[in-house]
Amino acid sequence: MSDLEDMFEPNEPISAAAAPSNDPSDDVPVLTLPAGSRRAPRLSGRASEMFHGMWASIFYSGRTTGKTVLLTSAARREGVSTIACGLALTDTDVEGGPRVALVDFNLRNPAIHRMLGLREGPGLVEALADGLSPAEAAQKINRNLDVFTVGAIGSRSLEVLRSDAVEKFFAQLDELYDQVLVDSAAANHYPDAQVLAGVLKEVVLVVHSDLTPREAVAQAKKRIEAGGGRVVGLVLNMRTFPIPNFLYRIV
Amino acid sequence: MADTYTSRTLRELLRIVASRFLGMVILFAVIVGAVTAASLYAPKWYRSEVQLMATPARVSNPLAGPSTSQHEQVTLFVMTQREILFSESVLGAALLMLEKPQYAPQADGSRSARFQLPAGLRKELPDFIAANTDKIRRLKDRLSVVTPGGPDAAFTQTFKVVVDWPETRQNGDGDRAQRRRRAAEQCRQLADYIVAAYLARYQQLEAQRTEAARKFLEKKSLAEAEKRVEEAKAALEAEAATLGADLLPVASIVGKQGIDSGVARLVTELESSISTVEARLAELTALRRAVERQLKEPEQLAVPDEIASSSPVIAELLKRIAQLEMKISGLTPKFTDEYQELQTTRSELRNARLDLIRELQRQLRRLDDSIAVKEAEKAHLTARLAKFTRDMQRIGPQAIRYSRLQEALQAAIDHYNQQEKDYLESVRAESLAQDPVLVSVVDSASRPDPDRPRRPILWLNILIACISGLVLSLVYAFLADHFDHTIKSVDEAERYLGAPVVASVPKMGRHILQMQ
Repeated sequence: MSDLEDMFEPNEPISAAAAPSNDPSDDVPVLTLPAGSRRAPRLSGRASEMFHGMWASIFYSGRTTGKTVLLTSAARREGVSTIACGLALTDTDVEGGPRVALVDFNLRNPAIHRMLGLREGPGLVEALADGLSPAEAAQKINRNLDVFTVGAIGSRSLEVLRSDAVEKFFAQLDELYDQVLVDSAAANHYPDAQVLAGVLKEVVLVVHSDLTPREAVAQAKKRIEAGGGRVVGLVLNMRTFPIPNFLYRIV
Repeated sequence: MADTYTSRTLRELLRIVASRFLGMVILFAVIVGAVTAASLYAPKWYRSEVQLMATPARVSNPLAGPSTSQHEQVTLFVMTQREILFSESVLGAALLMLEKPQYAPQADGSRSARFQLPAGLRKELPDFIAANTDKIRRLKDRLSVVTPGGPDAAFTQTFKVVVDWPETRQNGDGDRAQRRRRAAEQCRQLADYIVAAYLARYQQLEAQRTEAARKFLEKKSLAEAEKRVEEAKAALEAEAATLGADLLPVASIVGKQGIDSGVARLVTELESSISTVEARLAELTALRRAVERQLKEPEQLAVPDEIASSSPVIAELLKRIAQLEMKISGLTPKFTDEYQELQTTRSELRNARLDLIRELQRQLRRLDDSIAVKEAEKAHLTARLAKFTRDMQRIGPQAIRYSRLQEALQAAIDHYNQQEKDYLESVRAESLAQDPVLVSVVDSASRPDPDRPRRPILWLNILIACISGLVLSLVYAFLADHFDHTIKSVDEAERYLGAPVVASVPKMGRHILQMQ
């Protein structure tokens, strides 16, 4: 049971052209490298295999029809943002891989910028409410992956969810990228996922295996479907296997 | 949940046990540990037993009474001995003897048949009982009476008194061995004292019972009751003689109701019977007159209904006459007077009419007889009424005396019956007293070994605790799993949520992400 840090191994620094920080005195977490150089996160071998499988079964198995997928969960702290990051980092550093956009639409508890070591900077909220273009709001992690952090939410969460701005934004992303992954807040606690499900239509539900009661997950599924979306798949997170492996063959 | 209930595979069962293994182990350890600790630290106790036997003094005479057979004596006997043994006086006396050895019986004193509690002990006993009720109650818990065949054994001659005395710490100072010896000795002594106190109490109760019976017999009240009955009877008969036979029923009614109302009732009764007789008389005379009138005019047949119904001959004759007349009236328009049938019919009619007249005369004579009888009856009743009203004054107080004597006689008879019953009871009690059930001590109290007190069986308790711990922890595991609604496998997710599982991500440690 390796630590999650093994999943993301710091790599050689690359000199990536990142949008400059608006305020140089921002308390940017964990970045102590000189400006302009940043270590790109990478998945460890085991995790990478797993996320490869997940990627293939979501996108290459004929379950999805579009390019965009919404990732959400029933309750809080089920590991959606981690799964989103992991999924986004799969296959993105190779030549000829798909161009992927990771959008952090978790307005309540945004975590992607922390996980990937990005600045909070101009992001989603600015792109939706202030009309910033996607090219300006994105932050490039590696060759194929662009990340839209959440930006400065303030008290503008409702304003952000207004559907015409959201639709326009995702239409733009649809043209620019091959796959779009959207991370959002818990479906049972906040309305974000329900609203976004109506716009994005395809939802992957992440379930914490031994913690979330099945009724809560069923309710989340119902909310998504009420919003107009469709649950294309479930991800069972944090699985534990109490029986030793060799017994699986015998018993 | 029912539709997601898969059939349990072995893997499922193992998963359930494995995933809650820690909880099961804790539960098991708690149960076994608690039971072991309880068994190890449970108080130990000493046991002392006294064997007693109940025997009748000699074979009783089966003719002495229906319920004094030996079998019944001993049967009821054992059940009541329990009560005596557990009574406060016996237990209190035993405890008092334990506390104050000067009252204790001597070495073989408890075996003698006439053991009595010392006077000093008897004096102190009530206060002691009042002051030490909880000690006595605890002693009751430690005492048991064992009969072979169980506590409801109907017939037993031997029984055991068993005392379980704890190996307490408050036995005074001294080292452990000394304390234990003292506790064992106390146990034995207590058993002896309880038996001694019980025997004393038993004899005391027996003596009380025979005393009461004897006193009763001395009073000779049965003969007295009999005499009283005789006296009452004689007085009643004397009174009856003075009244006279015909006034006896009258007197009893008058006596019951009191002079005025009784007399009035009797007078009204007589008068009503007189009036009934008169009414009947009037009826009969009217009837007679009707019959006479009928006889004077034979052509007009109007026989009163009562006569016709009381004499079947007349009724038949009337019917015949009617038939003949009808026949004649049927024949006359058709034929002349010389017609043979008409003539015979006419002669028959004439004969019938003559018969009727004769019958009516006979009835007349009968009516005369009845009238005479009724007149005689009426005269008799009026004479009685006259006599009664004459003698009324004289009868009154006599009648009351009579009825009072009757009541006195009845009371004397009841009293005699009661005395007879009591007499039989005391005769029986006395015969029982001459033939008592003796309780004797077969073995004096057994001496418990101070080094080996009785203790709970450790290995058995631990075994039971292990088995039940295992069972309970399994119950916990399966119950906890039954009520656990989280999603644990891909199959469950697909079954319950209906959406395909895209990936299964194993747990990978805490969510810490460092970029260095």
